[in-house]
Amino acid sequence: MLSLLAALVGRPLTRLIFCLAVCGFASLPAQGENEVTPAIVGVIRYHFRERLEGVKPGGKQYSAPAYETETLPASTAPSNGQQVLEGKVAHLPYKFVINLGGKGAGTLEVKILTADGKPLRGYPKTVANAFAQGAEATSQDFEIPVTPGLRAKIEKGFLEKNQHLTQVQLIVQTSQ
Amino acid sequence: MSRIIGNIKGSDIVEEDDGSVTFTAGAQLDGDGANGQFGQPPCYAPKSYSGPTLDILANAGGPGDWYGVVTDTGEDDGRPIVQGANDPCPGAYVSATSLYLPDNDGKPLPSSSPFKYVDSATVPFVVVPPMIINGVAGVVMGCRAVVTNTKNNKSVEAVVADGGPRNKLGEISLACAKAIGVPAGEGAKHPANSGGVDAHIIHYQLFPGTAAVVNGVTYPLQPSS
Repeated sequence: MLSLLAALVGRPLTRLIFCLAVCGFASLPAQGENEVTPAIVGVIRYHFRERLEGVKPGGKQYSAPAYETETLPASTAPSNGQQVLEGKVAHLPYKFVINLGGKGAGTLEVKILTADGKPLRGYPKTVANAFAQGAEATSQDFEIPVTPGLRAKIEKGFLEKNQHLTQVQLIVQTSQ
Repeated sequence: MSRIIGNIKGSDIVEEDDGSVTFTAGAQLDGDGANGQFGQPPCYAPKSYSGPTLDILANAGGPGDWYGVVTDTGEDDGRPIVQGANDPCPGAYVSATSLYLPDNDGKPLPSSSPFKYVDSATVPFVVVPPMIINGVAGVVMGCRAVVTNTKNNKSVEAVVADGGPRNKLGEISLACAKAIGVPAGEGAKHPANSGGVDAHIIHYQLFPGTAAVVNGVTYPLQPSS
């Protein structure tokens, strides 16, 4: 193998191509070098209020708002300057495709796809400079529309007795 | 001798020898009770309201099912009370806490008064589940609390002012979050609908039966039954 390589490199034209190839690879930044796009995490929040039992007449009948969570899979870095998060959660019939950096440095794109592959109403959404250094926002949140049928399914299958779903929300944060 | 009152999602709730109650949990955010009493935005308002609000209106429910604002009948299907011209945030809804405040003479305020409730935007307060309210001898609602962020050791005096769901532990007002360095939805359109911390890094110590004094204000102890 080495003798074959030596023989090839010994020819002037092949030597030129070999040198160009080596120089070209050497000029590319190594994977992870100059990495500026942080990893991202996606969390679904299921907001609800609970009807409280045993409240005195005239007292506040419902709890403070609270939420349960489901976490999307970790993001990957398919190429320099991008973070891509793809996946589903157990209690929503949607696929999430979240990309940071693919549409320009710092730009966050959120796609939510229904079971038949169509974008959910209002999506995709993009946010420029989503997590810019010095920016006030440490996370970005997106409201996920929920039909009455899906609401009932989540209340029955995920929440507890007397808990009423008020909103479903996607939170995207950097993991740093 | 200390005893465990119960456990919610991995967090023990402990009644200590001195009668205080301790637990460690995350911190969700509660914007309830914010009605602009001290110049900050209200928690909820109709879509026609032009100013900022702390929470997204969906978290208060909707017509026929109002879970998070005061209504004219006191029932879910009543009509939300709208603040009038002489109230702090004319046009906004009235958001309630479980703890009720009296007027300056110590008399009860009407349910429609924005001043009857504890302002999440300016008062550090804690939300607790029924397990705690009903599980100790002392009065919990209105009692003193000390909330500490164990990541940065920031601590604040607070009042227990709202009731949470039975299966959730660890919820605080926006003012409390800001005081101890918990993300309080900075930069978000609706701060109470963002922020918070899920990691169990917040330590709570409650003192049932001891009225809270926060920023010079003494809060009333409010028995649950």
